[in-house]
Formats: sequence, structure tokens, C-alpha cells
Amino acid sequence: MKAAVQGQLYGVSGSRSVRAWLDREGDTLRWCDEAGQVLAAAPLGACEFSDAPGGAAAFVTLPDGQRFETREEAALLAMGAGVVGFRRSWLSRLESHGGAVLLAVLGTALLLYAGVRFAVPAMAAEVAEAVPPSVAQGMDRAVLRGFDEGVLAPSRLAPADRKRVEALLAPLIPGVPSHVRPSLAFRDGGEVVGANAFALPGGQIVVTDAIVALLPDAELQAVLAHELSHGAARHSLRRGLQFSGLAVLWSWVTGDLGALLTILPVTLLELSYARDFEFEADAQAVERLVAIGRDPEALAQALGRLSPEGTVAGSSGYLSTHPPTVERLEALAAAVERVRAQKGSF
Amino acid sequence: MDESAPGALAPSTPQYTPLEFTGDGWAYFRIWVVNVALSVLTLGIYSAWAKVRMNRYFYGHTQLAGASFEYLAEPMAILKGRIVAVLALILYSAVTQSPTLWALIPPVLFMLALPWLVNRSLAFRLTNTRYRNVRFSFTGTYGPSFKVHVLWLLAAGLTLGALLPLALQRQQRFVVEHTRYGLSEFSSELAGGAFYAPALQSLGIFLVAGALSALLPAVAPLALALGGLLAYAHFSAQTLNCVLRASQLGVHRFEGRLETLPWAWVLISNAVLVALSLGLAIPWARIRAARYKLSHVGLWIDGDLEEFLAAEVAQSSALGEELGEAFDLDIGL
Repeated sequence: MKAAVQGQLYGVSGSRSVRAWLDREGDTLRWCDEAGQVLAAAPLGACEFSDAPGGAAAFVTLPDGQRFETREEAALLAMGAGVVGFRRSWLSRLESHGGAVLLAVLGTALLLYAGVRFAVPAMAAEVAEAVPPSVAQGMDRAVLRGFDEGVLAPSRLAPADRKRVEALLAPLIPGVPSHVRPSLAFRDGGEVVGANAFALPGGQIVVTDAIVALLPDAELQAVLAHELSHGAARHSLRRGLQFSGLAVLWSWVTGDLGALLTILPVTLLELSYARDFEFEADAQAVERLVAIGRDPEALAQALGRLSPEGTVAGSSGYLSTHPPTVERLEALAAAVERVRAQKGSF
Repeated sequence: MDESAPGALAPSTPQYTPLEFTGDGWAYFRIWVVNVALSVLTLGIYSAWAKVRMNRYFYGHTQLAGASFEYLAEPMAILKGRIVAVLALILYSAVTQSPTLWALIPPVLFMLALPWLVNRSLAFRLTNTRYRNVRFSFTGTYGPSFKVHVLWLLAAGLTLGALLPLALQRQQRFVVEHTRYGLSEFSSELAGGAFYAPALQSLGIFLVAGALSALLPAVAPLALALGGLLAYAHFSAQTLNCVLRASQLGVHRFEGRLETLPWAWVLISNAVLVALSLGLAIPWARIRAARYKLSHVGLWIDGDLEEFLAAEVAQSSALGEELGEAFDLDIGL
């Protein structure tokens, strides 16, 4: 006779239980009390075994509804060995199989990586293309209104200066897709925004008084080419869509976890997308400048002038929407080289 | 609160028995990662099975007086509920997006359905919980549920939140008083004003954090995030204690001993862990939270737990619970 499995035997009608020892004799399971008195018996094939995931407790349900609960899962399984149904579920075995778990980790990581790296950006680009220009321009108005109520004040630029900046943008416009309608909005950014320019979802470009005062014409035009590229590629629309896509992907994988746990990794990933878009807009700006016969080096010079401290290596961050200026300058130099090489080969 | 002085172990002296949680991060990690992988591979269909695996793990590792809890829900029932819930959510957002007056219909319908949703959700969860071969159940009906989940909440809104602690107290009391273990009903003596002290204290914590962030703008986001989490931890821990201490099952009284700072520490460090590990630490975070919460909750057992009679339990569908999850309701304790 095999060693007995110890546990509690529960009755059908309530929570009453007795401490019981389970034995197997042939094809019969038999429960006895401390004194060896038989409490219950049932054919092995009629008993139902169930296990808790992770091996907490194991249960045997008798045909009459009595239940036996034990912590000695291994001994119980050894006792019922060979009987159909009297074994751990295939999921339990999968979860305790080291190789399967490793495969699950790697597989999930791979799928997540593919999702974050390719699926989300591709779907966002697809959806952004489908957004009608009128909707995107409506967004521009709403966003600009928001800024106007907050950090931006009306521009104090002279009409002549505005004309000059408009004239810098004009030659760049023929290069963009027809659905993008670039236009300029002049604003005073005060201390907070400073010398800056940024593109809105529909292609409108906001230019602060300070940046117009700071940059020489060639460099200002380079910055406009950069912002125009953001608009042409619908970067800010895609950023919004990518954020939603990531949030969906993330909550799908993690289950719901509360806002705080969820939002930080999504935000970090979104910022990495944003930095990719900066590189992309820089590279496209170089192409646009070369296309209209301007010197693409002007963009690098503008960057240096806008953030002199950023040209020092080491200042960076995963928390930034823009890549470190040093990296941007390197990438820019490479882009300029590339475009020049292409030109030269024709 | 400790009434069991040494040597005074007369049969009628209640013994404090905390819940025991034996879950372990690595063991749950294996289950979790298999769940995630299979859910992703099956485009979400496996998530119903995943939910059952997770709950069975947590229930199975929760023990009271040597016996463990069991989660009995069938994955197929959850999957059916989940599919209907997702369709309802899509329909809801589609109709509310429309610029016509039709957009007003879903929120009104939702408000009317809310009491039913809460009832069905609790019924599903409780009837699928078994302890010592006896199932729990929920007996709440639409009328009382409508009163606490709609009318009281509207009253709280109309008084700009002044009645919110009272509304929450009414809701918790409704839940406890309609919970049954076998044939035995839970009872609650939760006083009407019980939630006002925790609510005001939490508000105080948040105001201090707000003042701090106004004085030191450099640390403002950190102060607000920590203050918010601390306020939340205080309110959730102290109200849970209140609810439990006022609840009784037969002659046995419940006990809650959560403390604000340790509970806040669990929540904050979990958030940091999960963020830094890009989600890989989620299993450990869940285990830590469950371990703290469960081991600070218990029952003053008067005599033993042998005398509860089982009841016939009608199986309920998972639709209510799945709808509740799809619409992001936080139902139950």
C-alpha cells in the first residue's frame, strides 16, 4: 500500500470538514479518519481531479459531491497515476515547463517589438493619410486657439518682416503633397517658448518673434523646411495616433493596471517615436533645401544657434521630444553628404 | 483591538485569523507570461482563459484557517461575455460620437443599466468563489442597487461631492449586506459618516502636495503624483478597514488592518518597478499588492467555520462582469 495523502474532506451540505487520509486500493480511492475508520470511498475513474495553477492546492471531487482538499499535490498525482483525467491540466504542465516559459517570454518580446517598431507606426501613417485635409486644418485652428489662450501672445513683428518670412517659405511649398496647405502663424512666445518654430497637424507653421529676430534668412528658411517636412509627413497627427495605438497595445498585453502604471512606458515609447520624426524631418529638410538650390548646412547652423548648450555631448534624455543636438548634427552632416553624393552621380 | 489576552482561550473567545497569501512572484510570472503570449497569439481570444488562470492562482493561494479559496468560472462563459461587451463598447462609442441628439441615448441607457451591471458582476464573481465546499452568492436586486449606484451618486454630484463619502458608504453597505456564504447572510453596521474622516484626511494630503508644488515648482509633478497616490492609498486602505470592521458573517466579525504608509509604499514602488522593467515586473507587482492587502485582512473566528450550510446556487452569466470591465467600472471591494 502506498503512503496516504493527507487533507480535509468536505461534506456535501455545508462547510463541515474532517481531517482525512486518502489511500488507493486497486481502482478504489478510500478516505479514512485518524483512527483508520473509513469515511468515504469511490471508484478512481468516477473521481474528478483539479489542480490550482502554480500548485497551491489540489482537489478531488467525489461522485456524490464531497470534496477532498490537499496540499500534497505530487503525492496525490502519483497515487492516481495512469488514470485518465487524474493528472495536471496541460496548461499547468505548460506553465511549469522552463522551455515553454522561455519561449513565451521571447515570443512576446518579439511580437511586442514588432508591434512597437513596425505595426503601430505603419498603422498610424496609414490612418493619418486617410484624415481629410479639412479635418486636419480644423485641428490646427483648435490647437492654435489653445496655445493662444496659454503661452502664446499676438506677434509684434512688422509687416515687412512677415513678408520676408513668407517669401522664405514660398519657394519650398511646391515640393509638398497637394493636400498639405502650409501657412505661417506669427506669435510672440515670450520667455516660455522663446525662439522656436513648430508644425501643427494640418501643416500650419507657428513661428515666434524671437526666432525671426535670432536667425539669419538662410537659417530661418532651413528651419521652415524642417517644419514643413513635419507637416508634409503629418508627423504630429501620426504622433497622436501612435500614442493611442501604443496605449491600446500596452493595455492589451498588461491587462488593466491603473493609469499610473500604464502611462509611463507608453509615454517613453512615444517620445522615442517623436525623436525619430525629428531625424526624418531634418533629412527631408536637407533634400528640400538642396532642391531649391540653397545650402543645407544652414540647418545645422540654425540648430547650433538655437541651442548652443545642446552641442555639448552628453546632454540627452529619454524624456525629451527632440534628440540631443549633437546627434542631430551628426545625422544632418550624413544627410548632406548623401544628398551631395546623389547630386554628384547625375 | 486585540481581545485575545494570553491564557483567556475560552471557547467563546474569538480568535483573530488573518488571510494567508502564499503566492510567489516567479511562480506567477510563469503563468502570466504564458497568458500574455497565448493572448497575443490568439488575438485576444485566450484572454478569457488567462483571466481564469490568474484568478485560480490568486484564489488558490489565498487561505483562511488552512482552507483555500477556489475560482470556478468557466473560460467559455467569460469569452461570451467579453465578446458582447466589446461589441457594446464599440456601439456605445460609435453612437456617442454622432453629432445628433442620438448621442444622448447611450449615456442614459448606461445609467439605467449600471445597477443591473453591478449586481450581475458581483453575482458572477461571488457564485464562482468557493471556500470549504460552500459557494458565495449575491442577492442584490435592481431597486436598491439603483438607489445607491445612481440616485446617491447623482446626489453626490449635485452637492459638488459633499455627499460623495455618504454615497460610497451606501454602496459598500449594499454590497456587504447582499453577499451570502451558502445560506448565511453577511451583515454590516457601517455608519453613515464612516467615510468622512478618511475622505477629509485624503483631501488634506492632496492639498499639502498641491501647496508644496506651488511653492517649489521644480518638484511639482513629483509632489503631485506622490501626493495623489498617497491620498488614494490612505482613502482605499482606511475605507476598506472601516467596511471590514463593520461587517459580520454569522458570529464572526471581519477585521482590516491596512496601514496607509506601507500600502502607499507598495503602490508607489510597484509603479516604479513596472515602469522601469517596461512591464516585465507586473507579476511581482500584483503579488506584492495582493500579499500586503490580503495578509492585513482577516476574520475574528468565534469557535470554528464548520457550521455553514451550502445553498443551491444559480449559475450566472459573465456578461455583467465583462461589460463592467469593458466600461472600466471598479466594482466590489
